[in-house]
Parts: sequence; structure tokens; C-alpha cells
Amino acid sequence: MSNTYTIPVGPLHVALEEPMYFQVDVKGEVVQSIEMFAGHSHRGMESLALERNFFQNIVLTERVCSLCSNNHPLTYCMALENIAQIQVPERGQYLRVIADEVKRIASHMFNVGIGLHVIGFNTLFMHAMEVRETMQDLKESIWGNRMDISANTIGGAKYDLDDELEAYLRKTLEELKKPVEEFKHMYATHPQVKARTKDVGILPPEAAIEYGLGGPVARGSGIDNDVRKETPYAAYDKLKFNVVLGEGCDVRSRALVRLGEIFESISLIEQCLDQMPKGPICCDPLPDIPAGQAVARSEAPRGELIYYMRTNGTMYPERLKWRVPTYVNWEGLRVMLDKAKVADIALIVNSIDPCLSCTER
Amino acid sequence: MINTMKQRVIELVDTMPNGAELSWTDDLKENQYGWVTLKNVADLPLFAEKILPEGRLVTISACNAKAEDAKAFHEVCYHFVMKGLSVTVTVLPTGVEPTVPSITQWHKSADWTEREMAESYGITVTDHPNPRPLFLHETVQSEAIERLVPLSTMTNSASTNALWEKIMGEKGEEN
Repeated sequence: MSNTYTIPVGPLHVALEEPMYFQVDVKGEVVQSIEMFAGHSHRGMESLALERNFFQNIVLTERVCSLCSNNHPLTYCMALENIAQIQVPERGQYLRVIADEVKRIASHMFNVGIGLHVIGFNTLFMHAMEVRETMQDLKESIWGNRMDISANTIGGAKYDLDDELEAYLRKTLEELKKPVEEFKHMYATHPQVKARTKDVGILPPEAAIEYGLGGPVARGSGIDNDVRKETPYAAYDKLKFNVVLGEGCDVRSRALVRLGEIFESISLIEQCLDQMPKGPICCDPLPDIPAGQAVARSEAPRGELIYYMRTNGTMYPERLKWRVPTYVNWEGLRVMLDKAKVADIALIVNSIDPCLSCTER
Repeated sequence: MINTMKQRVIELVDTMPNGAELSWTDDLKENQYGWVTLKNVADLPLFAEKILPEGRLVTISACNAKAEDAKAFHEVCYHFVMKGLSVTVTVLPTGVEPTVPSITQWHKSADWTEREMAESYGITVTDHPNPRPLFLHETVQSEAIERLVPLSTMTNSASTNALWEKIMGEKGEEN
């Protein structure tokens, strides 16, 4: 009887958070090269979208991913609105920004928190999740759900804020500032966090451009690529905010960009509440959707999200294609993991805030 | 900046050896969108090379061919972004098996999306540096999305037995 055993690990294993398969070649404890294998949660959603009418696809696209679920129906609706030249009422544009930024705060806290869990700093991980829970409660109170919030519809927003909810939103954001500030200070100064994240998973800016990477992954290497500034949508052209950039090009830099963006998001929501006019939240009635094609882009928590839609005059899309930020960011791991230590692999992979659900659709 | 990028696209289109058509649209936020149709897919690598360094490939979509006289079943749209300017380049694959040239050597972001297009739509991508399937196992043949039976079709036919009769018939077994 043989004394050796082969234990398959991955792609589906309780120790792996998402079903992605890596083939890692190492020399000692140093990574020499990697190969990635995907396809274990492919759902054929692009094909499904052709079987659903324009309204049913709002529901479908919201289920592409949970963490950036709001950006999918938003960008989908934007593509449709481009084709039919639908004007979203001003209040609807501000409501779209509020929903987007609340989701961004929750998503960023989750990613930074998981990074701390990976390096074994569970006290700070629990602190991150506690702060994030504030946003989860906020989502549940305003939209009635903690992840898929159904905030968007064709021509505007599907929800409105009355005085009571607006006051609750302001109070929650005010209470969030101090804990996030403390958390950011702790992340930036704690020697254990610094030792595990500084100069780990280096992504030079030239490589970020060469691989076409997006979102906080590229911004952590100083690449100014925020779609909200580059191609304004919703009410972003009426709001003031900074694109947060990092210079470290490492895991730490990417996390600090995300934490910095949380403060920008809080400011954006407060500006929306201050500037948002009264009035309709959605275009009504909607015009017929003519035959045409459009591209729409938005800045999801993980980076640039693009939708391409082609219509043929019926109530069903002729083609609906979307590309999520993680889809391009995977390949950046070839650079970040090159000559990395085996113990840092999980941390570096987490630093791109990967989403399999998005990638495979 | 956008006007500079638009001028770059206009000049680029003029240099295509086999000719190209260019049109522009905008949205209600005045964001600009360029639509380029290359007359010959052989010009695609030149376009992909010359759109650098400002232009980057975002994704590729295979769609049903629009032109009624198109011999290819699909046309392929390459979506680029140049500093906020979206540019979509459409080509018709050529050959007995629909074929397009790879642009991964100029745009690394084309790597995955070209492989996905090849396995999902059966469009051959020539000169790809890593041509293995992206999502599906290598033993699964190409054009899976178009060949295989969707779950919705399978469940819908459960009440009529039509699908199972077909499956069992193909296996040579009696119902």
C-alpha cells in the first residue's frame, strides 16, 4: 500500500474564497511564474440577457456580482439611455450617485478587511467588518436589502429619499468618519501591517498601462484613470472630488487608495444631499427604444466597467456585452506575483480585489 | 484633450490602406463616441498599433453581422478608450473559418477577451501568443454557447418529452 497521497486543492475548496485555479511555479519560496485557469462559475449571462427584455435585464445585470451590483444595472441603463437619448431627471442623477458611493464604501471596507484577515491581523479585520456593517445597515434601511439594492431603472432611479431617510443618511455618514479615520491611521502606521504590505506585490506604472489595468489597482501605481472624471455620468460632473492616487505601487498603496476613496465617497454623498433638487426621479413616460448601438462606462468599486449594447427596435437586446474591471486586472498578477514569496500570494491576489462572479458572468 | 484624441482618430482612419468609415455620436453629458468600420480586417493590426500610446483596448464583442451582404456570420467590435474618448472598431472576419488577427502583442488586455471570443463564437484568432481556451476545458469544443442546450430549453421541454426523446434517440436507446 502506498504511503503517499494526492490531495486536490482547488478550484473548489473550502480554503479558497473563489473558484479560480492557479498554477504557481516556485523556486524555494519564490514565485517564478503563474498560470490561471478560470471557468468554474461561468453562467452564460451574456447569452441569458438576449432572452430577457430590457426591464428584465435590469434584474439580471444586478446579479452579475454582489459587491459592485449597483454599477451593473446603472451602466446597463446608461447604455440604453444613450441609444434612446433618454434624459434622466436631475434628482434621479443625484440618487444614482448616492447609491453608487454607498456601495463603494462597503466594497472597499470589505476588501481592505479581507487583506488584514489574510495577514492574520484579525482584530483589525473585525474592526473593518464592523465599520462596513454600518453601511450594510444603511443599505438595508434605505433600499430594503444589504447587497442587491435595486436603485436603478431605465431613465432614472427606482427609490427616493424622504426627509427622515435623508437625516438618517447624514447622521450615519457623520458617525462613519471617525472610525474610518482611526482605521486608516491604524492601517498606515501599524508596524505589522506595514511589514506585510509595503513593497509587496509591486506593480510599476508602466506595467499597469501595458496591461490596461484599472481602478484602485492602477491608481495605487499613480495612474489617474477614474471614469467619474474622465467620462462624467449621473451627477458626477456637478460634484467636487479628488482622484486618490498612490505612489507605492504595492499592496499597501492599493489599500490606502481604497481607504482614501471612502472619504471622497462620503463627501460626494453629502454634496448630493446638499445639492439635490426636488422633482421627478425617473423619466416618464419612456420613449420606444430604437435600433442602435451604444457604449457606456462607469467607475465600479474595482475600476472601469463598460457595457456595449446593440438594439434592433424590439424589446430585447440584440447584443449585450460587458467587461468588468477584474477581467483585465487578473493578468496584472503576472507582474505583481513575479519573484514574490509564497506566503504573500494570497495577500497579493486579494489586493486586486478579485471577483470571479464578475469575471465569468 | 477630447478634441485632440478625435483628431488622432481621424488621422488614423485616413491611414488605413484598405479604407475605413468613421462616424461620431455623443450622449446627453456630451461624452463623445467614435465608430470606425474597417473595410478589410487585415488593417486591424495596423490600427491597433497606431492607436497607441493613448488608446487602450477595453474589450471585444462578437456580434451578428449587420450588413445584409456580409458573408461572415459574425462581426467583431473592438472597444478602445483614448483618454475618455470611446472608439469602437468593427471588422468582418474573413476566411472559410471566420478569422481575425490577434492584437495581443500591442494590447495585453486583448489576451483573455480574444481567447474567450475564440471558444465562445468559433472565431479563429491568428498569431495569439497563448491560444488555449479561457473558460472551458480544452476537451470541450469551440462554439459551446451556440451548440449546447441551454438549461432553460431543457427544463421547458421536460413536460413534452421532446428533448429526452431526442437525447435518448441520439444515444441509440429506447425511451
